[in-house]
Amino acid sequence: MKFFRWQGVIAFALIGGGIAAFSMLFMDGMIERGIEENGSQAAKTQIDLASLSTSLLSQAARIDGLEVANPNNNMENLLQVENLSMDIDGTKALARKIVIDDLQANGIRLNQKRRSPAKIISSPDKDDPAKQKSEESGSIGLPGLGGIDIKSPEEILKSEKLETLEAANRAKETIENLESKWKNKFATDLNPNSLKETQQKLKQLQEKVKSGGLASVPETIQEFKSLQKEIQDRISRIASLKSEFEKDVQAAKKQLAELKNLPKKDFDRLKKKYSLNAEGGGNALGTLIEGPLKAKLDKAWKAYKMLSPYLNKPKTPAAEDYQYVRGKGVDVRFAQSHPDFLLRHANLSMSLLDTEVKGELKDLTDNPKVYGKPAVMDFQAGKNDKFDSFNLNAELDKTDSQSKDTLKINFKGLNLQGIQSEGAGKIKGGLANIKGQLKITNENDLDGSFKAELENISLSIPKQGGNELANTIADSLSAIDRINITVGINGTIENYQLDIQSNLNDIISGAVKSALAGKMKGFEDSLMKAIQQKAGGSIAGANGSLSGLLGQNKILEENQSAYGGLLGQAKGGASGIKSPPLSLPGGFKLPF
Amino acid sequence: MIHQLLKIFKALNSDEKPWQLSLGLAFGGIIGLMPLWTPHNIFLIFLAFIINLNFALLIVGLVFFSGIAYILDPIFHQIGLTVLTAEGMQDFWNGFFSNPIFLFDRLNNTLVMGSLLFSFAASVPLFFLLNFLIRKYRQHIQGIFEKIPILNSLKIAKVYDTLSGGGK
Repeated sequence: MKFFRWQGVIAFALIGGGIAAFSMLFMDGMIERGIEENGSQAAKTQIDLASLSTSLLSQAARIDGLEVANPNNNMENLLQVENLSMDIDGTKALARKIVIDDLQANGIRLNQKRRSPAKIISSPDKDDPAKQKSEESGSIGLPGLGGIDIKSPEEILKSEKLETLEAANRAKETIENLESKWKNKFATDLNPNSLKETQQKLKQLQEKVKSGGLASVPETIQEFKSLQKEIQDRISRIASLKSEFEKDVQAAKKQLAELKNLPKKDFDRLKKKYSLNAEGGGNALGTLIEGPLKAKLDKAWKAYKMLSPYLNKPKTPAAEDYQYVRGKGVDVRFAQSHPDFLLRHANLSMSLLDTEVKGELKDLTDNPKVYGKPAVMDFQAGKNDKFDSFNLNAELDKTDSQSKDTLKINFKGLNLQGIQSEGAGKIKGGLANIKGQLKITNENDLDGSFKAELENISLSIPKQGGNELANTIADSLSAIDRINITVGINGTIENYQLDIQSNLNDIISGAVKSALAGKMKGFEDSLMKAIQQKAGGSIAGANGSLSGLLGQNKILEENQSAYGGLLGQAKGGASGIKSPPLSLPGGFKLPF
Repeated sequence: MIHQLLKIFKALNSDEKPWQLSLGLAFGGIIGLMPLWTPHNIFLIFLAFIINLNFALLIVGLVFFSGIAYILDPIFHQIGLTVLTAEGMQDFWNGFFSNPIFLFDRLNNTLVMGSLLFSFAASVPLFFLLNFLIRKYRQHIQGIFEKIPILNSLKIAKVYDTLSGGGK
């Protein structure tokens, strides 16, 4: 019996060759489906590829028609690339590492409309309509001036809480609680039955005095004394209750007195918030720009946060980071000399304002700490129809434990002609220079400053029927030819502040001042009236409750007077016994 | 299932050497316990093709131990994780995995490493145990089949032929 059967080699070669041929034929399709399915799950948005082809011999791959859908708008592509071709390092692929030596990306476009809606891939944020609305409303430009309309007092009071109303309701509740507390106390401490019992006892003693002889005198005197003490205790208790009651009444009165000033306080607060005074107008630009700008920035932070974990893997993960998955196990990582993913160099071609902008990307990796170099992206474009020059530089430096990411932009001579914003009108002409930089430390701390200078500007803002204020501001803006805006960004990604300054503030402030002078007076009068009307009922209710509480005082007074009378009678009764005329039977009197 | 059992009986009653049968089952066990599409598993399949072992029993072993592998999956992971993250072995592993072949082979995966160690360790005693059992079977039980008159008298030739090893 032979140990080897050499014909097995032929059988193995035939079966193995068949499997290999099958894989070669269908490998491109499998990789394409793998990228679409796994990529969509990882990015939480649909990823489509028009076609993918690979060449094992030349170790290269080409992707046509890459589309990454916008997770917040399924009719828009966040990123679209016409074609991508790459040279892959085959020897590194053996060690399951993706190292792209060179990549060419042409026709990169951002925020393009899709031909068919993207599939919705579950994401917690999609369930939050408010967040989605805020993200969709992020159109930057001069926003509609209709938003400066003064709200009517009725509208304001529908959405605002009045401190007066709340305090009046609180006061009413407190006073009613006090009234019920005193009713309970009187029912227990000033029980009408105990007064009757005392009266009865006194009557009985008085009867005893009338009918009793000498033998019962000391006992009767003792009983009178005991009754006097009992009545005195009652009177002392009533006095103590009275003092406590007086304190409660004073507290209630104080609470009601405070109510008197609250309508004015509410009025001042709402006036400051809703009236468009000179100061309010002074920051009108900030108010108008901040919302849309924040929506855009929030979108950018979200994308940054989504990408960051893929571009900053730890050098060597801790043992507890290995999460077991049944059937798949865990890939343990050892000291690496090379990261798992590396894009050494890429030539990029992006479409910006329908103009081709060329750029370069270097050293993009999933593990910069191992690779030791920061990723750098640089886009540059010279003079053309749309702008004089464009320069965008981004550096992702995560080589240290503290990451430092920087974005610099310098846009010169941007032609603004024809730029239109819904409701805010159209820019008829002008040039813009935009320059700035943003630093993100530790993927969270923001420090940035951007400056935009708009020269020879010519705005055309449509008139808004019945909106006197908007029209006044529109007239002021139509007359200007130079705008400077600086935006400072500080704080953290979750909580950042925008400091927006512009020469437009003075222009808008002047327009607001003149337009609002007369209008605000009427607004203030009707606002005060509306506040008083809304809170009046509750204040009257609180005052009414105090009358109820004060009525309880009558019970105390009555009891005090009744016990006072009883004490007098008891004392009189007792003294009557102490000095009785000693009488002898038969009407004889002793001579002393 | 019946088909698989018949295959086992056919192999047991054939004139193949016990080592061919037990090696077939042991190979099936090793391949079945490990994730199928790993380079070293493909090499084992290649070996199985050229070694004169019983291929039918290899298939039976592969199917049976694939099911066992699913049950033992957490144990394999634990073995692999313990070995790969053992503090004293880190220098060794760092050197070992600096060779891309071993990463390509996915030996840094806890399931692959755990199942590899377990299956190789278990296959040696399994081989000798099966060898012993096959010898005993052939000494004491195989003859009983031939003595059962009903098998002959009923002339269920095909079944008898299968059970007795097809006349080999």
